[in-house]
Amino acid sequence: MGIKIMGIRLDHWLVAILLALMAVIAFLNVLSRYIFHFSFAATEEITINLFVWMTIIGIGIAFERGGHLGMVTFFNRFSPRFKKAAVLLYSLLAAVLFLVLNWFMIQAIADEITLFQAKSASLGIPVWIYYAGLPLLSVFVFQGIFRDAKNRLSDNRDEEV
Amino acid sequence: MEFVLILALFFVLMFIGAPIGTSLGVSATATIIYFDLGAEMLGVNFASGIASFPLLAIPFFVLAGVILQRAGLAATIAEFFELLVGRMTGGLSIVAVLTCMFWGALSGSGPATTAAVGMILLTPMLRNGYGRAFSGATIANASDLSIIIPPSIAFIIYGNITSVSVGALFVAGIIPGIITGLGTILVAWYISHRRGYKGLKQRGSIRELARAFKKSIWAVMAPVVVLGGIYTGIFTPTEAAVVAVFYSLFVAALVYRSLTWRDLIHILVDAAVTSSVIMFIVVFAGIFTWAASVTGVIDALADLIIRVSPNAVVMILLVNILLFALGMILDAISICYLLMPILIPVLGNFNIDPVYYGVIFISALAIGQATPPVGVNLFTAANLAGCEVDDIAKEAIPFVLMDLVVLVILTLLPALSLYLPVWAGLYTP
Repeated sequence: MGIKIMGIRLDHWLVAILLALMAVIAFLNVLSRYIFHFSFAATEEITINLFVWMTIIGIGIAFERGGHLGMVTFFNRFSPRFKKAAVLLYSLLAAVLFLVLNWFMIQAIADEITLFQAKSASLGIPVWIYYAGLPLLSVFVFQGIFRDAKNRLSDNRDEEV
Repeated sequence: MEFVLILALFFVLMFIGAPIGTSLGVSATATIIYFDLGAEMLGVNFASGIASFPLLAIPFFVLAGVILQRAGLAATIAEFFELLVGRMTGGLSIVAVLTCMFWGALSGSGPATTAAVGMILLTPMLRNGYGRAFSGATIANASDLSIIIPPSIAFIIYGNITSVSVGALFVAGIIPGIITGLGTILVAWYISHRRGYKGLKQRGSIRELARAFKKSIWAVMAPVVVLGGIYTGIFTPTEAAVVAVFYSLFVAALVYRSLTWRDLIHILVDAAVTSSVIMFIVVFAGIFTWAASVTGVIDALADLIIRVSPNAVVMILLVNILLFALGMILDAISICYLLMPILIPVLGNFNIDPVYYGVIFISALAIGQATPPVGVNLFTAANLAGCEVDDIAKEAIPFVLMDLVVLVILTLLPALSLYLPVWAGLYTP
Protein backbone atom coordinates (compact mmCIF):
# COMPACT_ATOMS: atom_id res chain seq x y z
CA MET A 1 0.00 0.00 0.00
CA GLY A 2 1.32 3.37 -1.00
CA ILE A 3 4.87 4.40 -1.73
CA LYS A 4 7.60 2.57 0.16
CA ILE A 5 11.26 3.48 0.41
CA MET A 6 13.55 0.76 1.78
CA GLY A 7 10.46 -1.04 3.05
CA ILE A 8 9.22 1.94 5.03
CA ARG A 9 6.23 4.04 4.04
CA LEU A 10 6.68 7.60 2.82
CA ASP A 11 4.58 9.14 5.62
CA HIS A 12 6.54 7.13 8.19
CA TRP A 13 9.83 8.37 6.72
CA LEU A 14 8.57 11.94 6.78
CA VAL A 15 7.44 12.00 10.44
CA ALA A 16 10.57 10.18 11.54
CA ILE A 17 12.83 12.63 9.72
CA LEU A 18 10.89 15.66 10.96
CA LEU A 19 11.03 14.49 14.59
CA ALA A 20 14.73 13.62 14.31
CA LEU A 21 15.47 17.04 12.79
CA MET A 22 13.55 18.78 15.57
CA ALA A 23 15.45 16.88 18.23
CA VAL A 24 18.85 17.48 16.62
CA ILE A 25 18.30 21.20 16.09
CA ALA A 26 16.97 21.67 19.64
CA PHE A 27 19.84 19.65 21.10
CA LEU A 28 22.51 21.59 19.19
CA ASN A 29 20.86 24.71 20.50
CA VAL A 30 21.17 23.53 24.10
CA LEU A 31 24.80 22.48 23.57
CA SER A 32 25.79 25.72 21.92
CA ARG A 33 24.18 27.80 24.61
CA TYR A 34 25.67 26.03 27.61
CA ILE A 35 28.96 24.75 26.31
CA PHE A 36 30.05 27.23 23.67
CA HIS A 37 28.11 30.19 25.10
CA PHE A 38 26.84 30.90 21.65
CA SER A 39 23.17 31.00 20.94
CA PHE A 40 21.45 30.40 17.66
CA ALA A 41 18.04 30.57 19.29
CA ALA A 42 16.57 31.86 16.04
CA THR A 43 16.40 28.23 14.93
CA GLU A 44 13.65 27.77 17.53
CA GLU A 45 11.38 29.13 14.84
CA ILE A 46 12.29 26.26 12.52
CA THR A 47 11.84 23.61 15.22
CA ILE A 48 8.35 24.72 16.19
CA ASN A 49 7.24 24.88 12.57
CA LEU A 50 8.65 21.42 11.84
CA PHE A 51 6.60 20.40 14.89
CA VAL A 52 3.45 21.67 13.13
CA TRP A 53 4.28 19.68 9.99
CA MET A 54 5.13 16.55 11.95
CA THR A 55 1.88 16.79 13.91
CA ILE A 56 -0.22 17.00 10.72
CA ILE A 57 1.31 13.80 9.30
CA GLY A 58 1.16 12.16 12.75
CA ILE A 59 -2.55 12.94 13.06
CA GLY A 60 -3.08 11.16 9.74
CA ILE A 61 -1.15 8.03 10.78
CA ALA A 62 -2.95 8.01 14.15
CA PHE A 63 -6.30 8.07 12.31
CA GLU A 64 -5.24 5.09 10.22
CA ARG A 65 -4.09 3.18 13.31
CA GLY A 66 -7.38 3.98 15.07
CA GLY A 67 -5.23 5.57 17.75
CA HIS A 68 -7.16 8.76 18.51
CA LEU A 69 -8.77 8.88 21.93
CA GLY A 70 -12.54 8.77 22.10
CA MET A 71 -15.35 7.54 24.30
CA VAL A 72 -16.39 4.00 23.40
CA THR A 73 -18.75 3.32 26.33
CA PHE A 74 -21.89 4.07 24.35
CA PHE A 75 -20.53 3.21 20.93
CA ASN A 76 -19.95 -0.41 22.00
CA ARG A 77 -23.66 -0.79 22.80
CA PHE A 78 -24.87 0.43 19.40
CA SER A 79 -26.26 -2.01 16.84
CA PRO A 80 -23.88 -2.84 13.98
CA ARG A 81 -25.91 -0.72 11.58
CA PHE A 82 -25.88 2.28 13.91
CA LYS A 83 -22.14 1.80 14.46
CA LYS A 84 -21.58 1.93 10.72
CA ALA A 85 -23.62 5.10 10.41
CA ALA A 86 -21.73 6.70 13.31
CA VAL A 87 -18.33 5.84 11.79
CA LEU A 88 -19.39 7.22 8.41
CA LEU A 89 -20.75 10.41 9.95
CA TYR A 90 -17.81 11.28 12.16
CA SER A 91 -15.24 10.32 9.52
CA LEU A 92 -16.97 12.59 7.02
CA LEU A 93 -17.10 15.39 9.57
CA ALA A 94 -13.39 14.97 10.33
CA ALA A 95 -12.62 15.22 6.60
CA VAL A 96 -14.83 18.31 6.27
CA LEU A 97 -13.09 19.84 9.30
CA PHE A 98 -9.70 19.56 7.61
CA LEU A 99 -11.15 20.78 4.30
CA VAL A 100 -12.41 23.90 6.07
CA LEU A 101 -9.07 24.47 7.82
CA ASN A 102 -7.28 24.11 4.47
CA TRP A 103 -9.72 26.41 2.70
CA PHE A 104 -8.97 29.22 5.15
CA MET A 105 -5.26 28.41 5.21
CA ILE A 106 -4.99 28.59 1.41
CA GLN A 107 -6.72 31.99 1.53
CA ALA A 108 -4.25 33.11 4.19
CA ILE A 109 -1.35 31.90 2.04
CA ALA A 110 -2.73 33.73 -1.01
CA ASP A 111 -3.06 36.91 1.07
CA GLU A 112 0.49 36.54 2.34
CA ILE A 113 1.98 36.06 -1.13
CA THR A 114 0.09 38.91 -2.77
CA LEU A 115 -0.73 41.46 -0.04
CA PHE A 116 1.09 41.23 3.27
CA GLN A 117 4.34 39.45 2.35
CA ALA A 118 5.12 39.07 6.07
CA LYS A 119 8.50 37.66 7.08
CA SER A 120 9.05 35.47 10.13
CA ALA A 121 10.31 37.27 13.24
CA SER A 122 13.72 35.66 13.75
CA LEU A 123 14.87 34.30 10.41
CA GLY A 124 13.06 36.49 7.93
CA ILE A 125 11.55 33.57 6.05
CA PRO A 126 8.24 34.41 4.29
CA VAL A 127 5.58 33.03 6.67
CA TRP A 128 3.56 31.46 3.84
CA ILE A 129 6.29 28.81 3.52
CA TYR A 130 5.54 27.63 7.05
CA TYR A 131 1.79 27.88 6.38
CA ALA A 132 2.08 25.74 3.25
CA GLY A 133 2.67 22.64 5.39
CA LEU A 134 -1.01 22.35 6.26
CA PRO A 135 -2.48 22.10 2.73
CA LEU A 136 0.40 19.99 1.43
CA LEU A 137 0.60 17.48 4.27
CA SER A 138 -3.15 17.25 4.86
CA VAL A 139 -3.10 14.63 2.10
CA PHE A 140 -1.92 12.22 4.80
CA VAL A 141 -4.75 13.26 7.13
CA PHE A 142 -7.37 12.54 4.46
CA GLN A 143 -5.66 9.24 3.68
CA GLY A 144 -5.74 8.34 7.40
CA ILE A 145 -9.39 9.26 7.87
CA PHE A 146 -10.35 7.28 4.77
CA ARG A 147 -8.42 4.15 5.78
CA ASP A 148 -9.69 4.32 9.37
CA ALA A 149 -13.29 4.49 8.15
CA LYS A 150 -12.65 1.65 5.71
CA ASN A 151 -11.14 -0.55 8.45
CA ARG A 152 -13.97 0.10 10.88
CA LEU A 153 -16.70 -0.44 8.29
CA SER A 154 -15.28 -3.77 7.19
CA ASP A 155 -14.82 -4.85 10.84
CA ASN A 156 -18.48 -4.33 11.47
CA ARG A 157 -19.40 -6.37 8.43
CA ASP A 158 -17.40 -9.29 9.85
CA GLU A 159 -19.34 -9.08 13.09
CA GLU A 160 -22.63 -9.32 11.25
CA VAL A 161 -21.48 -12.41 9.39
CA MET B 1 -27.62 30.47 21.92
CA GLU B 2 -24.06 30.11 20.67
CA PHE B 3 -22.90 28.03 23.57
CA VAL B 4 -25.86 25.67 23.34
CA LEU B 5 -24.77 24.83 19.78
CA ILE B 6 -21.11 24.30 20.66
CA LEU B 7 -21.78 22.12 23.72
CA ALA B 8 -24.61 20.10 22.16
CA LEU B 9 -22.56 19.33 19.05
CA PHE B 10 -19.56 18.35 21.15
CA PHE B 11 -21.50 15.93 23.35
CA VAL B 12 -23.45 14.37 20.48
CA LEU B 13 -20.19 13.68 18.62
CA MET B 14 -18.56 12.22 21.75
CA PHE B 15 -21.64 10.07 22.27
CA ILE B 16 -21.46 8.49 18.81
CA GLY B 17 -17.80 7.60 19.44
CA ALA B 18 -16.03 10.29 17.41
CA PRO B 19 -12.43 10.98 18.49
CA ILE B 20 -12.22 13.76 21.10
CA GLY B 21 -10.19 15.96 18.75
CA THR B 22 -12.76 15.60 15.97
CA SER B 23 -15.58 16.39 18.41
CA LEU B 24 -13.84 19.50 19.71
CA GLY B 25 -12.76 20.67 16.24
CA VAL B 26 -16.08 20.16 14.49
CA SER B 27 -18.20 21.75 17.23
CA ALA B 28 -15.86 24.74 17.55
CA THR B 29 -15.51 25.27 13.80
CA ALA B 30 -19.24 25.00 13.21
CA THR B 31 -19.91 27.57 15.93
CA ILE B 32 -17.25 29.95 14.62
CA ILE B 33 -18.54 29.79 11.04
CA TYR B 34 -22.26 29.83 11.89
CA PHE B 35 -22.05 32.86 14.16
CA ASP B 36 -19.30 34.53 12.10
CA LEU B 37 -16.75 34.75 14.91
CA GLY B 38 -13.66 35.16 12.74
CA ALA B 39 -13.45 31.99 10.65
CA GLU B 40 -10.74 33.35 8.36
CA MET B 41 -8.24 32.86 11.21
CA LEU B 42 -8.99 29.11 11.54
CA GLY B 43 -6.14 27.80 9.41
CA VAL B 44 -3.53 30.10 10.92
CA ASN B 45 -4.80 29.39 14.44
CA PHE B 46 -4.48 25.66 13.81
CA ALA B 47 -0.79 26.11 13.00
CA SER B 48 -0.08 28.59 15.80
CA GLY B 49 -1.84 26.33 18.32
CA ILE B 50 0.89 23.74 17.71
CA ALA B 51 3.88 26.03 17.10
CA SER B 52 4.80 26.73 20.70
CA PHE B 53 8.16 26.18 22.33
CA PRO B 54 6.80 24.93 25.71
CA LEU B 55 4.57 22.37 23.93
CA LEU B 56 7.64 21.09 22.08
CA ALA B 57 8.50 19.32 25.34
CA ILE B 58 5.68 16.86 24.59
CA PRO B 59 7.14 15.07 21.52
CA PHE B 60 10.59 15.07 23.16
CA PHE B 61 9.46 13.53 26.45
CA VAL B 62 7.37 10.99 24.54
CA LEU B 63 10.38 10.14 22.37
CA ALA B 64 12.68 9.70 25.39
CA GLY B 65 10.08 7.41 27.00
CA VAL B 66 9.68 5.27 23.86
CA ILE B 67 13.47 4.90 23.51
CA LEU B 68 13.87 3.76 27.13
CA GLN B 69 10.94 1.38 26.77
CA ARG B 70 12.38 -0.23 23.61
CA ALA B 71 15.70 -0.55 25.41
CA GLY B 72 13.96 -2.72 28.00
CA LEU B 73 14.67 -0.40 30.89
CA ALA B 74 11.37 -1.01 32.70
CA ALA B 75 12.44 -4.62 33.26
CA THR B 76 15.80 -3.50 34.59
CA ILE B 77 14.20 -1.14 37.09
CA ALA B 78 11.67 -3.78 38.17
CA GLU B 79 14.49 -6.27 38.71
CA PHE B 80 16.31 -3.84 40.97
CA PHE B 81 13.25 -3.12 43.10
CA GLU B 82 12.47 -6.85 43.24
CA LEU B 83 15.81 -7.51 44.90
CA LEU B 84 15.35 -4.52 47.17
CA VAL B 85 11.81 -5.00 48.53
CA GLY B 86 10.63 -8.27 46.97
CA ARG B 87 10.88 -10.14 50.26
CA MET B 88 8.42 -7.91 52.12
CA THR B 89 4.79 -8.92 52.54
CA GLY B 90 3.10 -8.18 49.23
CA GLY B 91 6.58 -7.64 47.84
CA LEU B 92 5.72 -7.82 44.15
CA SER B 93 2.83 -5.39 44.49
CA ILE B 94 5.18 -2.92 46.16
CA VAL B 95 7.70 -3.54 43.38
CA ALA B 96 4.90 -2.73 40.92
CA VAL B 97 4.09 0.57 42.63
CA LEU B 98 7.75 1.64 42.83
CA THR B 99 8.36 0.70 39.20
CA CYS B 100 5.30 2.68 38.13
CA MET B 101 6.55 5.70 40.09
CA PHE B 102 9.92 5.47 38.42
CA TRP B 103 8.50 4.86 35.00
CA GLY B 104 6.20 7.82 35.56
CA ALA B 105 9.27 9.93 36.12
CA LEU B 106 10.52 8.73 32.74
CA SER B 107 7.40 8.79 30.63
CA GLY B 108 4.67 11.14 31.82
CA SER B 109 1.57 9.35 30.54
CA GLY B 110 -0.75 7.12 32.58
CA PRO B 111 -1.88 4.43 30.12
CA ALA B 112 1.66 4.15 28.71
CA THR B 113 2.97 3.42 32.21
CA THR B 114 0.22 0.86 32.85
CA ALA B 115 1.17 -0.91 29.66
CA ALA B 116 4.94 -0.80 30.19
CA VAL B 117 4.87 -2.00 33.81
CA GLY B 118 1.93 -4.37 33.33
CA MET B 119 3.72 -6.27 30.59
CA ILE B 120 6.67 -6.92 32.88
CA LEU B 121 5.13 -7.49 36.32
CA LEU B 122 1.69 -9.02 35.75
CA THR B 123 2.98 -12.48 34.90
CA PRO B 124 5.28 -12.79 37.95
CA MET B 125 2.50 -11.41 40.18
CA LEU B 126 -0.02 -13.98 38.96
CA ARG B 127 2.56 -16.77 39.26
CA ASN B 128 3.13 -15.82 42.89
CA GLY B 129 -0.55 -16.09 43.77
CA TYR B 130 -1.66 -12.47 43.60
CA GLY B 131 -5.26 -11.99 42.46
CA ARG B 132 -5.64 -11.06 38.79
CA ALA B 133 -7.90 -8.09 39.50
CA PHE B 134 -5.81 -6.92 42.45
CA SER B 135 -2.62 -6.98 40.36
CA GLY B 136 -4.29 -5.05 37.56
CA ALA B 137 -5.79 -2.52 39.97
CA THR B 138 -2.45 -1.95 41.72
CA ILE B 139 -0.67 -1.22 38.45
CA ALA B 140 -3.51 0.91 37.05
CA ASN B 141 -3.64 3.02 40.17
CA ALA B 142 0.09 3.39 40.58
CA SER B 143 0.30 4.51 36.96
CA ASP B 144 -1.88 7.46 37.91
CA LEU B 145 1.10 8.75 39.74
CA SER B 146 2.88 9.18 36.48
CA ILE B 147 0.85 12.29 35.73
CA ILE B 148 1.71 13.86 39.10
CA ILE B 149 5.38 12.85 39.13
CA PRO B 150 7.40 15.08 36.81
CA PRO B 151 8.08 15.20 33.95
CA SER B 152 4.40 15.19 33.26
CA ILE B 153 2.61 16.06 30.05
CA ALA B 154 -0.41 17.18 32.09
CA PHE B 155 1.73 19.83 33.81
CA ILE B 156 3.07 21.04 30.44
CA ILE B 157 -0.51 21.50 29.25
CA TYR B 158 -1.60 23.15 32.52
CA GLY B 159 1.34 25.55 32.28
CA ASN B 160 0.50 26.30 28.66
CA ILE B 161 -3.10 27.24 29.50
CA THR B 162 -2.45 29.19 32.70
CA SER B 163 0.92 30.73 31.71
CA VAL B 164 2.48 29.34 34.88
CA SER B 165 6.13 28.20 34.70
CA VAL B 166 6.24 24.51 33.76
CA GLY B 167 9.54 24.13 35.61
CA ALA B 168 7.94 25.35 38.84
CA LEU B 169 5.00 22.97 38.30
CA PHE B 170 7.35 20.01 37.75
CA VAL B 171 9.23 20.72 40.95
CA ALA B 172 5.95 21.32 42.83
CA GLY B 173 4.82 17.81 41.84
CA ILE B 174 7.77 16.00 43.44
CA ILE B 175 6.66 15.86 47.11
CA PRO B 176 2.94 15.27 46.35
CA GLY B 177 3.94 12.52 43.90
CA ILE B 178 6.05 10.77 46.53
CA ILE B 179 3.29 11.08 49.17
CA THR B 180 0.70 9.63 46.78
CA GLY B 181 3.15 6.81 46.02
CA LEU B 182 3.68 6.02 49.70
CA GLY B 183 -0.10 5.99 50.20
CA THR B 184 -0.49 3.50 47.35
CA ILE B 185 2.27 1.28 48.78
CA LEU B 186 0.52 1.32 52.17
CA VAL B 187 -2.75 0.11 50.62
CA ALA B 188 -0.97 -2.57 48.56
CA TRP B 189 0.89 -3.75 51.66
CA TYR B 190 -2.23 -3.82 53.85
CA ILE B 191 -4.32 -5.80 51.36
CA SER B 192 -1.44 -8.23 50.73
CA HIS B 193 -1.05 -8.64 54.49
CA ARG B 194 -4.74 -9.48 54.97
CA ARG B 195 -4.89 -11.86 52.03
CA GLY B 196 -1.58 -13.50 52.76
CA TYR B 197 0.23 -12.48 49.57
CA LYS B 198 3.75 -13.42 50.65
CA GLY B 199 6.97 -11.86 49.59
CA LEU B 200 9.44 -13.60 47.31
CA LYS B 201 11.32 -16.50 48.91
CA GLN B 202 14.81 -15.97 47.69
CA ARG B 203 16.76 -13.15 49.17
CA GLY B 204 18.88 -10.94 46.95
CA SER B 205 22.48 -11.05 48.14
CA ILE B 206 24.35 -7.79 48.51
CA ARG B 207 26.36 -8.70 45.44
CA GLU B 208 23.22 -9.33 43.36
CA LEU B 209 21.78 -6.08 44.57
CA ALA B 210 24.95 -4.25 43.62
CA ARG B 211 24.90 -5.86 40.18
CA ALA B 212 21.25 -4.93 39.62
CA PHE B 213 21.96 -1.43 40.83
CA LYS B 214 24.86 -1.08 38.45
CA LYS B 215 22.71 -2.37 35.60
CA SER B 216 19.86 0.01 36.33
CA ILE B 217 21.93 3.03 37.34
CA TRP B 218 21.76 4.53 33.84
CA ALA B 219 18.00 4.26 33.81
CA VAL B 220 17.74 5.60 37.34
CA MET B 221 19.91 8.56 36.40
CA ALA B 222 17.57 9.70 33.59
CA PRO B 223 15.01 11.47 35.81
CA VAL B 224 17.86 12.84 37.92
CA VAL B 225 19.41 14.46 34.85
CA VAL B 226 16.08 15.84 33.66
CA LEU B 227 14.75 17.06 37.00
CA GLY B 228 18.14 18.17 38.29
CA GLY B 229 18.58 20.33 35.20
CA ILE B 230 15.18 21.95 35.65
CA TYR B 231 15.57 22.21 39.43
CA THR B 232 18.84 24.08 39.24
CA GLY B 233 17.51 26.31 36.49
CA ILE B 234 20.04 25.07 33.91
CA PHE B 235 17.36 23.87 31.50
CA THR B 236 13.87 24.92 30.58
CA PRO B 237 11.50 21.91 30.50
CA THR B 238 11.70 21.76 26.70
CA GLU B 239 15.49 21.77 26.79
CA ALA B 240 15.46 19.16 29.54
CA ALA B 241 13.20 17.03 27.33
CA VAL B 242 15.57 17.15 24.39
CA VAL B 243 18.51 16.38 26.69
CA ALA B 244 16.48 13.40 27.93
CA VAL B 245 16.09 12.21 24.32
CA PHE B 246 19.83 12.15 23.71
CA TYR B 247 20.56 10.74 27.15
CA SER B 248 18.12 7.86 26.48
CA LEU B 249 19.60 7.32 23.06
CA PHE B 250 23.09 7.17 24.54
CA VAL B 251 21.98 4.73 27.25
CA ALA B 252 20.02 2.52 24.84
CA ALA B 253 22.65 2.42 22.10
CA LEU B 254 25.91 2.38 24.01
CA VAL B 255 25.17 1.00 27.48
CA TYR B 256 22.46 -1.57 26.81
CA ARG B 257 23.37 -2.03 23.13
CA SER B 258 19.79 -2.78 22.25
CA LEU B 259 19.09 -0.48 19.33
CA THR B 260 19.42 -0.77 15.56
CA TRP B 261 18.88 1.90 12.91
CA ARG B 262 15.64 0.26 11.82
CA ASP B 263 14.45 0.25 15.45
CA LEU B 264 15.24 3.93 15.57
CA ILE B 265 12.92 4.73 12.64
CA HIS B 266 10.08 2.78 14.24
CA ILE B 267 10.73 4.51 17.56
CA LEU B 268 10.62 7.92 15.87
CA VAL B 269 7.36 7.05 14.07
CA ASP B 270 5.71 5.73 17.24
CA ALA B 271 6.79 8.76 19.26
CA ALA B 272 5.63 11.16 16.54
CA VAL B 273 2.23 9.45 16.36
CA THR B 274 1.78 9.34 20.15
CA SER B 275 2.68 13.01 20.37
CA SER B 276 0.30 13.81 17.50
CA VAL B 277 -2.55 12.02 19.28
CA ILE B 278 -2.00 14.44 22.17
CA MET B 279 -1.54 17.47 19.90
CA PHE B 280 -4.71 16.61 17.92
CA ILE B 281 -6.64 17.20 21.15
CA VAL B 282 -4.49 20.17 22.23
CA VAL B 283 -4.92 22.10 18.99
CA PHE B 284 -8.66 21.64 18.67
CA ALA B 285 -9.23 22.17 22.38
CA GLY B 286 -7.45 25.49 21.89
CA ILE B 287 -9.82 26.44 19.04
CA PHE B 288 -12.76 25.18 21.11
CA THR B 289 -11.72 27.40 24.03
CA TRP B 290 -11.36 30.35 21.65
CA ALA B 291 -14.89 29.78 20.30
CA ALA B 292 -16.29 29.19 23.78
CA SER B 293 -14.75 32.38 25.15
CA VAL B 294 -16.17 34.46 22.28
CA THR B 295 -19.63 33.02 22.94
CA GLY B 296 -19.36 34.09 26.59
CA VAL B 297 -19.95 30.60 27.98
CA ILE B 298 -16.63 30.70 29.85
CA ASP B 299 -17.40 33.92 31.73
CA ALA B 300 -20.89 32.68 32.52
CA LEU B 301 -19.61 29.42 33.99
CA ALA B 302 -16.82 31.16 35.93
CA ASP B 303 -19.40 33.54 37.41
CA LEU B 304 -21.58 30.59 38.33
CA ILE B 305 -18.75 28.82 40.18
CA ILE B 306 -17.83 32.03 42.02
CA ARG B 307 -21.45 32.62 42.99
CA VAL B 308 -22.17 29.12 44.33
CA SER B 309 -18.91 28.83 46.31
CA PRO B 310 -18.87 30.65 49.64
CA ASN B 311 -15.08 30.19 49.99
CA ALA B 312 -12.00 28.76 48.32
CA VAL B 313 -12.16 25.34 50.02
CA VAL B 314 -15.74 24.74 48.91
CA MET B 315 -14.82 25.85 45.39
CA ILE B 316 -11.88 23.41 45.25
CA LEU B 317 -14.13 20.66 46.56
CA LEU B 318 -16.89 21.37 44.03
CA VAL B 319 -14.43 21.45 41.15
CA ASN B 320 -12.82 18.21 42.35
CA ILE B 321 -16.20 16.46 42.24
CA LEU B 322 -16.64 17.78 38.71
CA LEU B 323 -13.13 16.53 37.84
CA PHE B 324 -13.86 12.99 39.07
CA ALA B 325 -17.02 12.93 36.99
CA LEU B 326 -15.31 14.22 33.84
CA GLY B 327 -12.25 12.04 34.44
CA MET B 328 -14.43 8.99 34.01
CA ILE B 329 -15.36 9.88 30.44
CA LEU B 330 -12.63 12.18 29.11
CA ASP B 331 -8.84 12.17 29.05
CA ALA B 332 -6.78 14.49 31.26
CA ILE B 333 -5.74 16.86 28.46
CA SER B 334 -9.24 17.61 27.20
CA ILE B 335 -10.45 18.24 30.75
CA CYS B 336 -7.55 20.63 31.29
CA TYR B 337 -8.58 22.60 28.22
CA LEU B 338 -12.29 22.50 28.96
CA LEU B 339 -12.03 23.53 32.60
CA MET B 340 -8.90 25.62 33.13
CA PRO B 341 -10.00 28.65 31.08
CA ILE B 342 -13.12 28.73 33.27
CA LEU B 343 -11.10 28.33 36.45
CA ILE B 344 -8.43 30.99 35.84
CA PRO B 345 -10.74 33.91 36.77
CA VAL B 346 -12.13 31.83 39.65
CA LEU B 347 -8.63 31.26 41.07
CA GLY B 348 -7.98 35.00 40.86
CA ASN B 349 -11.24 35.73 42.62
CA PHE B 350 -10.39 33.46 45.55
CA ASN B 351 -6.68 34.34 45.60
CA ILE B 352 -5.64 30.74 45.07
CA ASP B 353 -2.03 30.17 44.03
CA PRO B 354 -1.96 28.74 40.47
CA VAL B 355 1.04 26.44 41.07
CA TYR B 356 -0.48 24.98 44.24
CA TYR B 357 -3.79 24.61 42.42
CA GLY B 358 -2.02 22.94 39.51
CA VAL B 359 -0.93 20.10 41.78
CA ILE B 360 -4.45 19.75 43.23
CA PHE B 361 -6.04 19.88 39.79
CA ILE B 362 -3.73 17.31 38.23
CA SER B 363 -4.01 14.99 41.28
CA ALA B 364 -7.80 15.10 41.08
CA LEU B 365 -7.57 14.40 37.35
CA ALA B 366 -5.25 11.48 38.00
CA ILE B 367 -7.77 9.92 40.36
CA GLY B 368 -10.48 10.27 37.72
CA GLN B 369 -8.28 8.35 35.26
CA ALA B 370 -8.41 5.25 37.47
CA THR B 371 -11.86 5.69 38.95
CA PRO B 372 -14.64 3.21 38.33
CA PRO B 373 -16.87 2.86 36.37
CA VAL B 374 -14.90 4.10 33.38
CA GLY B 375 -11.21 4.98 33.61
CA VAL B 376 -8.57 4.97 30.90
CA ASN B 377 -5.99 3.15 33.04
CA LEU B 378 -8.48 0.53 34.24
CA PHE B 379 -9.22 -0.45 30.65
CA THR B 380 -5.54 -0.80 29.81
CA ALA B 381 -4.93 -2.87 32.96
CA ALA B 382 -7.98 -5.09 32.37
CA ASN B 383 -6.76 -5.79 28.86
CA LEU B 384 -3.32 -6.82 30.07
CA ALA B 385 -4.47 -8.81 33.10
CA GLY B 386 -7.11 -10.60 31.07
CA CYS B 387 -10.05 -9.88 33.36
CA GLU B 388 -13.20 -7.77 33.47
CA VAL B 389 -12.98 -4.02 34.01
CA ASP B 390 -15.65 -4.35 36.72
CA ASP B 391 -13.47 -6.70 38.79
CA ILE B 392 -10.49 -4.38 38.54
CA ALA B 393 -12.71 -1.42 39.38
CA LYS B 394 -13.85 -3.15 42.57
CA GLU B 395 -10.26 -3.83 43.62
CA ALA B 396 -9.33 -0.24 42.82
CA ILE B 397 -11.72 1.21 45.41
CA PRO B 398 -9.33 1.11 48.42
CA PHE B 399 -6.60 2.71 46.29
CA VAL B 400 -8.96 5.46 45.18
CA LEU B 401 -10.04 6.11 48.79
CA MET B 402 -6.39 6.48 49.75
CA ASP B 403 -5.81 8.85 46.81
CA LEU B 404 -8.71 10.96 48.05
CA VAL B 405 -7.21 11.13 51.56
CA VAL B 406 -3.90 12.26 50.05
CA LEU B 407 -5.73 14.82 47.91
CA VAL B 408 -7.37 16.31 51.01
CA ILE B 409 -3.96 16.49 52.72
CA LEU B 410 -2.44 18.21 49.67
CA THR B 411 -5.36 20.65 49.56
CA LEU B 412 -5.07 21.56 53.24
CA LEU B 413 -1.26 21.90 53.22
CA PRO B 414 -0.22 24.11 50.27
CA ALA B 415 3.38 24.02 51.54
CA LEU B 416 3.70 20.40 50.34
CA SER B 417 3.37 21.69 46.79
CA LEU B 418 4.97 25.10 47.14
CA TYR B 419 7.96 24.50 49.42
CA LEU B 420 10.31 22.98 46.81
CA PRO B 421 9.70 25.38 43.90
CA VAL B 422 10.01 28.39 46.22
CA TRP B 423 13.14 26.97 47.86
CA ALA B 424 14.69 26.29 44.46
CA GLY B 425 14.02 29.88 43.50
CA LEU B 426 11.84 28.82 40.56
CA TYR B 427 8.71 30.50 41.82
CA THR B 428 7.51 33.30 44.08
CA PRO B 429 3.85 33.01 45.07
